[in-house]
Parts: sequence; structure tokens; C-alpha cells
Amino acid sequence: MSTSCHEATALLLERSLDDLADEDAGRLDAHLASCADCRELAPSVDRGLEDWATVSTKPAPAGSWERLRAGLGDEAPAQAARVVLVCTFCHGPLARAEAAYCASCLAPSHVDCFLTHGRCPAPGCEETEIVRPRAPAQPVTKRGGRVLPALFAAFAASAGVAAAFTVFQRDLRTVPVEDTPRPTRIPERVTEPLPPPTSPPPAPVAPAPPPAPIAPPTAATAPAPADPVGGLSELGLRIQGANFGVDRTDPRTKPHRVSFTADGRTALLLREKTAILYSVERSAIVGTWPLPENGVGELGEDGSAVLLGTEGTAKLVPSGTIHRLDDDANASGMVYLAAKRRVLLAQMGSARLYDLDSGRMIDSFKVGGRLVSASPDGLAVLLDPDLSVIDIGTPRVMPDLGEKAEPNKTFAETPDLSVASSTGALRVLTGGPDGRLVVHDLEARTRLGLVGHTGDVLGVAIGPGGRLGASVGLDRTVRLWDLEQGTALAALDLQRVNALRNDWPCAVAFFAGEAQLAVGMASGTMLRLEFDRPVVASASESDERKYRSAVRIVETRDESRYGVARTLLSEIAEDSRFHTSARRYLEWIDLDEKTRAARGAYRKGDFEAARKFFLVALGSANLDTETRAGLEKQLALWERVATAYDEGVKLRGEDKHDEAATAFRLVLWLEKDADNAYRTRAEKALGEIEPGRR
Amino acid sequence: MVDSASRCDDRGLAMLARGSRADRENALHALHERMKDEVFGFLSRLLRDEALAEDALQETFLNVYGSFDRFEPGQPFRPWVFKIARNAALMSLRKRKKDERLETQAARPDEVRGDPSGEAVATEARVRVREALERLPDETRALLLQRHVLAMKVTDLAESFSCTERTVRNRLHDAASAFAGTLLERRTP
Repeated sequence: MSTSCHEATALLLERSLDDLADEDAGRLDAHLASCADCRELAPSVDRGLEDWATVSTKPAPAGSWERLRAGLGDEAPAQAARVVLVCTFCHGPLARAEAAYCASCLAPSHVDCFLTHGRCPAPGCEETEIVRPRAPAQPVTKRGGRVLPALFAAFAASAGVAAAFTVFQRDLRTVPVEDTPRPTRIPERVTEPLPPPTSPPPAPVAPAPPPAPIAPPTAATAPAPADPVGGLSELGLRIQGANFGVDRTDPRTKPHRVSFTADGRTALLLREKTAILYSVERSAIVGTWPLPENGVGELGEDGSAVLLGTEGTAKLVPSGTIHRLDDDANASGMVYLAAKRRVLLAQMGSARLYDLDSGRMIDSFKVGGRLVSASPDGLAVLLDPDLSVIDIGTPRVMPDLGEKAEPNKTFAETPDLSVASSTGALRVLTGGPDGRLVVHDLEARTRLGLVGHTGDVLGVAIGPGGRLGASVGLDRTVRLWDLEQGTALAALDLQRVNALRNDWPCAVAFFAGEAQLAVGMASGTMLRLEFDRPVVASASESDERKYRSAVRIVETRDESRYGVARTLLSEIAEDSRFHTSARRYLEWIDLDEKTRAARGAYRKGDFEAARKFFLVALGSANLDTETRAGLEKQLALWERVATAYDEGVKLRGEDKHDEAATAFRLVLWLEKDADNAYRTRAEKALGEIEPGRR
Repeated sequence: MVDSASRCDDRGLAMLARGSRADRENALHALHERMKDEVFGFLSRLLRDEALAEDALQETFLNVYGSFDRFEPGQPFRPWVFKIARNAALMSLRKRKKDERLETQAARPDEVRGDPSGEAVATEARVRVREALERLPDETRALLLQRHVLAMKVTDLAESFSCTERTVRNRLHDAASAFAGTLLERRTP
């Protein structure tokens, strides 16, 4: 049957559905005039469609309302949370159309309020720019005026919580991205010196992480912020950044190809001629190895990786053992199953399975495969043109699980895929160009399109439970999906993070079960996202109340009430979804108390005492890398000041006034604008040495 | 109250759906009375099983009741309800994926109605068309049912599928192409 007959048959159906375009009608008529088969078929399509439409048109069974009414029960239905915007500064109600958002942490506010104060009051944020939606958003009051007063009353005590909650809730909406107004930057910048924020900072939504644990003593000498993207805590998401020296601002830097193990603990980064094995769990590089030209690398499920070079050389890292496979073709995709020590190499039109130790080919399959991926139990999926499944353990092709490509469509454009079979339901998630994301249920033979991404989908992952999916794409968003329902659960726009604006995510994996996501950026930066999953987790009302009260205390940094916060946080039940965050807040309170004590001692000129407090903080707290680096940098600065001051005193005692003056001037320079004993003493000493100075 | 609810337009029902528990039940009752036959017909065609369709009908309206809060006032109810019905049906199909009934019923088309003219060839062609339609993926069949049987406009389909009108047109085009592929595949000896 020629292609034109195929097209004509499709057009016949479109004509029956009244969807035929005028130009197609002309083409169809021309074809029908010349093709007797299609001419004969034409009336049958109409009638067949009518037959199909008119069968079994019975009314709904009697008594269906009674059944339905009984099913409702006496329990009140779950009400979706309503969104109420409150200005972060004046705490007044805020219509969405009037709202502006902090460019870093998205805290909402009136434009006037923001411009008056000049910077975001969120702890550790201090962003001086705001963004606004391009299209006016629908006013909140349209959604339900009845409950608004009650909600305002409920949120009045914690306006900041409401504000943060709003931002978080906004990201959980399951609307397609094309309907979401994109933020646009407001050109106004505040150029004059700004007064410090006058209103208390907003508290993050549960379970938000604590703010940056230490405030730098002075603006001029402040170390780098401990958490450069801490503003995202407002979204209920926390990014723990770990960068291993790749210059992400250099446009010449070639992007990495990143892949993760199924458990997200280990990542393999391939760039040019280098392969890097990275432990997500420890935030540290395991090792770096040269990658042969045109080489392929793939992770096994145990965190080891195979680097495949030319002429079948396979290097197993990190052990470093070299195996030689009886294969000289260039593979375009590979799966390494560490448990069975087997490697599946895929190429157009064929796939070959090798035993890694002997190097011998175990079996070959005549199925295509531009890309491959494997589930933990050894089912490998190959794409292009059809979707094929091979059981590496048996080994055999499983025709029942394969999926034939649709006419005129192949899986050739699919850039990445993931497969999971941990729950018995074998699902494959395939990402494609222009935001195409499809979950294939290979057993039920269904496929479900997931709408959300607006750019190419570059990385996908399926959670260990088989129900949660995650994807990242060129639209620089990370999205979380319910694969059974085909609905979006959460989304995070990485463009909101200043530090990631020139970067894009290219791989994603679930980490720590389904509690975190590991995201690999093209620059080589690795992120860990912690997210709240209200769809699964639960918490009693009292736990939530305790948590929110404690968070308010912590966020206002009311040191006198830290004891109360500590009690409230320690009472939160272990199975509550707030438990993890509560523990983190407790750690943060400890850390904050120690760093406050250190700062107090230093301010009084007792560096030794300050150092002891700091060392205790560094030793006892469960710090992430960046926070630790910030604290160490702070301590180094203080040490430098104390040493310079001591040196000045010593030189002065030896009547070396010029050298002593230099040392004191160094103290003043290091402690510019600071208010502490070292600066006061140095100024005084310098004034005595150089009377004209004062 | 139920009578007055049944006379409400979509906007009135949407307001009612955001009210007290009694109001919500009245809104649900009115919606159920208004749409139960149409939804049941849609579900029966999609699921090809009346018992399953009856369960899916209950599931649909329970979900409608639970999702009243998420319904945007000003939008028509019909595409929204059919979106929920479609999802309920697809979930139901997925749950019984291992059940052989589906395949056997798919392979066995509904009874062909009498053909008074006795034109065996034409009847066979119609049967093949129906078989080809039945063999389409569930999502595609749902789309065609909503377009042809429920006569939903492209705008409403876009609302129901949470996508753009252009995407709906593309999906309809893809559905026609898949239909042609299936039909011609079976026609080729």
C-alpha cells in the first residue's frame, strides 16, 4: 500500500470527524479519483465510525446517585489549600496582579514596599531586584471570597509563612507551563544606600531548612554566603550545592554529560576526554580518569563505572581493572549490570551482550538501540526505531514488553530515558524535544503524555517506588510527576537562582529513597534538592502547629526564646513529615548559639575564646560543605586580625613604631566598618603612635 | 434546594460547589443528574465493560466532589468532568491490565447490526473500520470518543486535555494516522 493511501485513509477519518482542512480536502478528492480501493473504503469509514459511536448507548444504571451519596459518607471532603498572598514587608493583603517577587527567593511584596526598603528581608537574601509576572495573574479573591477573612485571620500571626506558603503552593500547581506567566525583570534599581530592613523576615514554609547559620560580622569583610541559593528555602526546597572547580561562567566550557546510578548516590560526568566519578552522598569526587576518544562510559548499579574505549577496551573504575571485550564496533549506548558483570552494547540495528570478565559475547539481538537504560533487576530498554526490552539475566528479548513505534514516528529523537520495574509495573519515561515527556506503561500497554516542559527534556528519572517521576530540561526546570495519574506534583525553576543562571540541568535521579533529588548541571555542578511531598507525607495538626511556632522563633532569631523553640521541635513525632526539618532546625539553633557566643567573644577582643566556640561548632554540627567553608573562612579572618594586632603590640613594645603602625593599619583595613575591641584598640594604638591621625 | 441547583448554570453550580457541605452535595447531585448518562455512555465505550463503567462513573463523580475546590469558576463543567472521567477510565484500564478480558473483548468487536442490503463486502469494510478504531490506544480512543461521540469542540478538548488547541489538532491528526496504519495493516494480506 502506497504512502498516499495511508494519508488518504487518515484524511477520510478526519473528514468524518469534520476536522479536514480545505487543502487536505482537495488532496483527498484527487486521490479518491485515482484510487479505486480508497474510493471503495470511503463510505465504510463514515459508517464504521457511526457504528462505533452508536453501540451500547444505555443510560446510567438506576440507583447510581444513591450509591454515590453513600460513597460520600459523613466525612468532609478534602479541601485544596487556598492561596493567599501577603506582602512580606507591610503584611497587608496583596492581589496577585499587584504582586512583585524577590528576584532570588520570590518572596512576594508590593512594589512600593520593596522600593521603599530596597532589599529583600529574607534571611541571607538581601536581593535588590524584583520580578513581576508578564501577564496579570487572576486575582485570588475570585477563587472564594467566603473563606478569605478566615484565612487572613489564620495567617495574620505568621504573614511570612503565608507568603512563603504562597510561593511554594504556586509551584505545586499542575498547570501547563505555557499558561504560566513568565516573570519579567523590573528595570528600577535602588542605587542609594539603603536602610536595613525594618520588618521581621518571613519564615519559610514547612519543612523549610534553616537560614544561613552565621551572619558575617561586617559587610566589607564578610565571607561568601554559606548557602548561595538559600533563597530557595522559601519554596520548601533546599539546594545543597557542590561544585568541583568548573568555571560555570565561562561560555567556552563544554557541557558535561551526567548520569546517575538508580539510587542517585553516584554520578558519572563525562566531558571531552575526562571521566569523573562523583559521590553525591559524600559530596566528593571519587576519582578522575582519562576518557578515550569517542569513548562511552556508563555507571553500574553499585556505583562503579565502565569506560569503553576503542577496540573493545573496557576499564572498570574506580578499581582500575582493564578488560578486553571481543568487540571492535563503536557502541552508541551501553548498559553495565555490575551484579552480573555483564555489559550490553547497543548500536543501530543490533545489541550485543558481553561477559565483562571473560570478554566473550554471550548473545546478540537484532533490535535497534540508540540509547539504553536498565532497571535494577536487569531489564534493559533499547530505543529507535521501536522500544525493545531485553532481560540481561536470561538473556532474551521480551517481545511482550516491547512497543512498536507509531507510524511516521520513531523514538530516534528521544534524548534520555529511564526505566523502573521495582513495583512490578514496568514503566519507561522518555523525554524528547520540545517538552515531550511520555510515560510508557509496558505491561498495560498505555502511554501518558506529561505536559509541562517548554524546552527539550534532557534527563528523566523514576523513583524506587515506580510512581514518582522527575525530569529536567532546557527550560531549566526540575519537575516532579505522579506517573500513575499523569499529573505534575512540583516544579522548580532553576533560573530563579542567580548562581545557576548561565547553567542548565542535564540529568536527574532520586536520592535517599524518594526524599531528595540529585540534579547534574551541564557545568558540572551537582545539586541536591530536598522537597516536601504533601501528597504522601502526613503530619498531625499539633505537630504542624509546634513546627510553625518554632520556625517563627528561629526565623526572627529571638535568642531569648530558643529554649521554647528547642522544646517544641523536640516534641515533634518521628513519623511526622516535619521531623527531618525539625531536627535540622535544632541543629541550626545549636550552631547559631555557638556562633553567637563566638562572635560575642571576638567582639570583646578574646580571639582564643571565640576560636574555641567556633571549633566546637565546626566539630559538632552536621554542616554542609558550603556552610563549613564559610565558617572556616570567618575563623581565618579573625585569626588574621588577632595575629596582626598581637604583632603590632609586640613591635610597639620593641619600639618599632613604623612596623607596629603598619600592623595596626592592617587590623583597621581588615575590620573596616566593624565595631569590635580589636578595631577600637588598633585605632587607639595607632592614634598614640601617629598623634596627627586622630 | 436540589431543584434550584439543577436549574443552575455552570457559574451558579461553581458557586454552590464552593459552599457548605450541603451546597456541595446539591451541586454534585445536579451535575450527576445532568451528565450521568453521557458520562456513562462515554465510559462504557472506552472501557467496553458496563460493570467497570459503573464503577468508573462512581469514581468520576466522587473525584468531581473531591476536586470542587480546584475547579476554576468561569470555566465550563463539561470538559472538566470528562477529563476526570477519562482519567478514571484510564486508571481502571491500567488496573486490570493483566486481565485477559480486555484483549478478548478488543479482538471480538461488538455485534454487527443487520445489514438489510446484504452487501457483504461493504459490511466487512465497516467491521474492519470498527476493529481498527477499537485497536487504537486507550488515550487515542478517548480523544476520538470525546470529539466524535460527545461532539466536543476543539476548545473544549483543549480544556479537557489541559493542552493547547494546536496540540489537540496535532493529536487528532496523529490519531487519524494511527487509525490508517492499523486499518491498512489489517487490509494487507
